[in-house]
Amino acid sequence: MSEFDDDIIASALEHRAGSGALGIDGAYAAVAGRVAATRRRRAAVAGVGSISGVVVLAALALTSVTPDVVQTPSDSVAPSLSSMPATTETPSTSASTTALPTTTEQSDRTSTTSEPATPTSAPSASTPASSVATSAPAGSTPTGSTPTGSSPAGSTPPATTPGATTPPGSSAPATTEPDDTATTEPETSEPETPPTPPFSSRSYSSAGGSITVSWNGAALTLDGTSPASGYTASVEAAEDDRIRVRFDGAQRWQIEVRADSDGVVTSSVSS
Amino acid sequence: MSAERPDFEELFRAHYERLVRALTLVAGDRERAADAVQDAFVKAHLKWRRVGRYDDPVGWVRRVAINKLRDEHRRDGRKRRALDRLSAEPAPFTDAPPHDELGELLDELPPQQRAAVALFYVDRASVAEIARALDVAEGTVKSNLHDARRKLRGVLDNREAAG
Repeated sequence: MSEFDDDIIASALEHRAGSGALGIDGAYAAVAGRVAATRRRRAAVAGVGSISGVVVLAALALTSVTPDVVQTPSDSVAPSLSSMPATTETPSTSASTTALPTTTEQSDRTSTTSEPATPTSAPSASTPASSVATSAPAGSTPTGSTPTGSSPAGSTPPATTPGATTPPGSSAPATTEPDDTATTEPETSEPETPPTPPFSSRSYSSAGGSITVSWNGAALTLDGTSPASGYTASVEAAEDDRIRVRFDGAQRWQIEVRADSDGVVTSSVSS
Repeated sequence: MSAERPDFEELFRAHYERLVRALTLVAGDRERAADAVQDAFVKAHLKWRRVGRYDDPVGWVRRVAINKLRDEHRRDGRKRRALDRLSAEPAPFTDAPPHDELGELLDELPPQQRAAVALFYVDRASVAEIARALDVAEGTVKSNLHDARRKLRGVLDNREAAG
């Protein structure tokens, strides 16, 4: 009991507030519909952001790549981070580090330029290109993922900003630059991304479709899925430390993003 | 992890009506209240893996809905005043009583007092929950409830004596 309890006031106010049925089933359906629409919109925005980012970075790559250091796509793969304000690697640097992923074919360079940590992790020019490769581009191998940022090189805004209101503990962390923890072991062939600081959103692609995932430093959030034409997406897991989405179509693809207890976010794509 | 979270639909069905009714008194309009509550539930659903782990997910929804109403109030004061005047008329989809002395008093209450009594007497929220929802101290909520209760009591006692 509270000192303010008053049945008469409560009754009068409840009467005032209306006692008619509110159609809760309809309200729930409306909420579910808005949620679905929001997720579709986010996925679409993420897709557009990724594509435009790739186009912009590809254009940058076209202006800087040198023919004598080009390698085959399968030799180098690298993830690209979302929310990266700009590339930290200059074209001249990429041209001189012959064995780094920055010297790969244009489309792969494209994603590499948005990941400043990876090039700095390469110990020397003798390091095989594959030693800094952590994931394969979509479609190139069945076991690699190609996370692409929603705002690479500052060309587009972040794809999603969930929650306009900011209740306690719900604010999205500010996107920060990746640090040196992105260093990967030589000879690593695991399809995992380097350790990653919080990011607002990042897309992971496969031939069956792509997903957009946020990482706030403590929990992963599946922002949206975008199946390719002829594919359907099924969310198999959406936990704080694991997101797994399956795309069924002509072939079955699966994208999995994990966050380990050290806050290291990794991803894999399989078919 | 997810097993610890309450079911979203269950939470929605348990609290939606009470929240809408309470915020109807705050907003003065059932439809605006329903919009705000639904909007808050949409946001909760989109962040459910996080919000669902909160000690009081309904408190989160309540606060988001109230913040939305506050934002609307700030953004369009003129429109809100018009809606407040319209709130005197029974909405076609409710069986709210015609505007009377109680309605007038509710309209005259400061927004924070009105929100406090609505959340306390209709949403059945505790003083602590109201304080979190309104982002004020519990003492402020108690003061609001005390003042509002005294005024409401006066109106209701007069109505009872007259009736």
